[in-house]
Amino acid sequence: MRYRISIRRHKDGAQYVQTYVIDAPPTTTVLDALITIREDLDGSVAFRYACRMGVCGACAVKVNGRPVLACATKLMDLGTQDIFIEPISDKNVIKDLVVDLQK
Amino acid sequence: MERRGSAVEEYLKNIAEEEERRIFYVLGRRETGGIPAAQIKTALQNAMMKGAGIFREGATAAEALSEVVKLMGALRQVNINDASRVYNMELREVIELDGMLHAAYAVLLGAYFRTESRGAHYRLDHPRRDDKNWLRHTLVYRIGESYSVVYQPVRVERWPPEARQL
Ligand code: FES
Repeated sequence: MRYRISIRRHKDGAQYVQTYVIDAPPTTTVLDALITIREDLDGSVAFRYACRMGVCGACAVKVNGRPVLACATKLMDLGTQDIFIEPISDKNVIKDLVVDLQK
Repeated sequence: MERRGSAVEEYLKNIAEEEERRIFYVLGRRETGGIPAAQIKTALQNAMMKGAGIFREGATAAEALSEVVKLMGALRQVNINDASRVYNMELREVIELDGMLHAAYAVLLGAYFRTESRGAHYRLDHPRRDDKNWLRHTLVYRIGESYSVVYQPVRVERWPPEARQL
């Protein structure tokens, strides 16, 4: 299945949306899709993760407007092939999808 | 107390600077013909599956050893697109991969030299357990760019190890 994944990026003070197209099975998680993008398309995309299994909360992002755990959300659960990923909203962004969890 | 300029401080500062250079050196590097870090990682996973997987063999372990050496060379050519010093995950990946390659090499050395089967180490070419020669620990040291393998006797205390009876 072909997915269009747009990421709201914050890099060196600039903000922009970048769109990547990947082919992945619908059972792929949002986190694995992000990892695919970083490994195959653009190594500079930053996001956080640790357990990869819905336990730690490190991978929390907003997908199509809803806050979710990227590793616990499958692409097919989103009901669309157009996916918009942004950092969770009430935190200061350090870079791309990585936010400052201190405050 | 006069702390500035103390030898210890100087020494530590040098180590820190050296380490910083080692890590950030990769950022500024632009090589041609380098392969992506992700590709090296996949190759390492395959090599370890073959060389130090469930069923091991001297010949395949030896192959994996030379593959890992090749990958260590490839890692020196890896390019990083992200030159930033803020949350650079690509850089982290490369540093991790560097450590993984050394760990993999140590595991393979142990598996290659241990010509017996014991626990999870199962050698197709040496299916028997051999307490006479191999009741000992493998220690791998990295000295500069080379490795040395040394063996240490097992300290047997109250329960002498013995082969499991089925
Ligand atoms: S990585 Fe831990 S919850 Fe997603």
